[in-house]
Amino acid sequence: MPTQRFAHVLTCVLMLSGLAGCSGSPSLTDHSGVQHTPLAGEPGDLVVVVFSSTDCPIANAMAPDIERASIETTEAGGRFYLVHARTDLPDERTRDHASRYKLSMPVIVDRSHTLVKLLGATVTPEAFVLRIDENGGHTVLYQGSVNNLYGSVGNRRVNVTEHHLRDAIRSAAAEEAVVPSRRTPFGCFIERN
Amino acid sequence: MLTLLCCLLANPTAEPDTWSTIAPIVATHCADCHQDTGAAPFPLLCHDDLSRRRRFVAEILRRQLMPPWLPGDGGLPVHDDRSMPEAERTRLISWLEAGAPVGNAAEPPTTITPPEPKALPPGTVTVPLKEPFSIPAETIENEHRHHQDTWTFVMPLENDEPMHVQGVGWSTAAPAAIHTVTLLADDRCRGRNRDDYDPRVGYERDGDLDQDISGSFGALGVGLSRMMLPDGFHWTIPPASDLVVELKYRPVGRELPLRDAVQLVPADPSGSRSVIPVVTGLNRVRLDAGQADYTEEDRFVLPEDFDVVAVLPRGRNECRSMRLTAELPSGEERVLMDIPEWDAHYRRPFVFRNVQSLPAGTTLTSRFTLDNSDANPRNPYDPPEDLRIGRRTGVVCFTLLGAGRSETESQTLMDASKWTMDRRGMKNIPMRTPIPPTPTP
Repeated sequence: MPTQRFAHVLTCVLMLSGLAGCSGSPSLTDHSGVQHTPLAGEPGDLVVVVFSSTDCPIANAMAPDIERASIETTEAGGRFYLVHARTDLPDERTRDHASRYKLSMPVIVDRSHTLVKLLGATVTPEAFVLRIDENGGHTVLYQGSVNNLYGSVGNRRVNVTEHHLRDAIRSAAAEEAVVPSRRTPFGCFIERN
Repeated sequence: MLTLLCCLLANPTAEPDTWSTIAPIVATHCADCHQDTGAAPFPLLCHDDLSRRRRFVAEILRRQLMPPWLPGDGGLPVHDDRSMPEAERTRLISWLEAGAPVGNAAEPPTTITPPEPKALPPGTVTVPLKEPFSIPAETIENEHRHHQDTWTFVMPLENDEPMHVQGVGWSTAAPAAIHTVTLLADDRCRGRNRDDYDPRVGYERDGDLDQDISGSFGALGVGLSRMMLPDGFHWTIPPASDLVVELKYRPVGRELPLRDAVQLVPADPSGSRSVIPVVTGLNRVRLDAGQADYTEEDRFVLPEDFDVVAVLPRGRNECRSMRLTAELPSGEERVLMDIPEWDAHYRRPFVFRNVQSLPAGTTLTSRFTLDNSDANPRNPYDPPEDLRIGRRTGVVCFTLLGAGRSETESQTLMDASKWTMDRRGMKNIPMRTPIPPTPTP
């Protein structure tokens, strides 16, 4: 798949430039100072990455649902990362945001937009459910919205009735196909570097 | 090149915009809410605030989502007009699309100073919430499905004498979460009785009391923390009243404790008239899931002269547009309020710049278009659900605040309005039968 090939080449370039971990996957530090390589792991590992922003009202409104998705991922044996797609976010603000919104998962600030570019994230919140491959790469099982709280930008519903991300996590954890594998996410644009 | 062309078309005589020429537009139309203590979720006070959100802000502007302003071009001039002239909108979008150029790199870009909050007039009475209440992190499913994200509080005034009030305000610790506050005075303990049934702080219903619609004693909305009646008009709060305050909020993903308060700005009642509500609208809506483009209207003939000072629209988000017109006995038709794109989140009162004097015999026509299909992006339910809802006070309606020539005439107007709304909701009267004539007092 051309996109994956490009991502692999990009990873190699990043590795050579020192931005990627020794396995070839980007290595980033979370808000507690712990180092993570979200896209690396054992073959078959389930990894969920949700791009967010501390001041995006759409992403923040979904924080409780994102936290529930994180718990379900961990219970299914997977790893969950919240990634702030901001280049200039101080660690203190990230910690404060995680505390106020009661987020328990590792929170990473993707200051160089490495993960943003590797996965092709466009807005916050945007979720990716991934499976680590035999060759150390990854397969995107689901990409898109967290839930249906927003019908479009500016049009918010009262209730969430469809939990797109959590459904995808359950399907992936049960080794079932994630259908649909893409849903349009509505949110705040990520301004690329 | 295309962006440059757009810039030149929008601003043909000037140099391409830079932050120094764009900042005044942002200061006028955005900074009031987009500041640290404002109703907006992030500040827009410096160049970087816009530059790092330039695609998002441009998209929001292009889709006319900001600044929030419901009335279309056809209505009457009102106070606190937040509409943005198209030329300024185009310039701001073009500047953002051009990469938000700073301009003179030698000088640091200026930062907008947000407007100071308006000082409270002397004699203003502040009534705080008696008990702590927190807005939940997300919408809680409740037994009243049509009243979600709505909470009502009873705030005793303990007034021995009638209070005369020209303005109402609301100060909140959660400006980004609360979007509409509507007030009603209650001297018959009806709010207290409802409150007694709910063991929690406040109660989980709307603020209407019997035939009295919440908002009759003022309302506040996003970015509107005070509503003032024009000179010569006031609300009269009877002795020993409670304020019954309906809060409509939008959860923001985390719990927000409130330390909120109502402010009552006193009026000099001499030579001033007491304001009453007249309501026109639909009090019963039956829409099947998927039903789109449904239009219905209500007519109400004024039995007395009525000087209208403000209009408060109400509607759920199945409503797409609403329009209020007055046909005067002379044959003149006046559009009092035209809302081509209704969004309940931005509901607020509209105080006319000029009092609208409507003579007896004027026909008020309120017209509503509803869409309960999934083509309505604001439909509260996904997938759409059958809508079966009735309220004696109006499901979708306009509350006109104003006064008759005398207290007796005001009372006649109010009674006729209530009678008409109530009668339309009675059983066995189909919705679209002709409205019975207004009773002669």
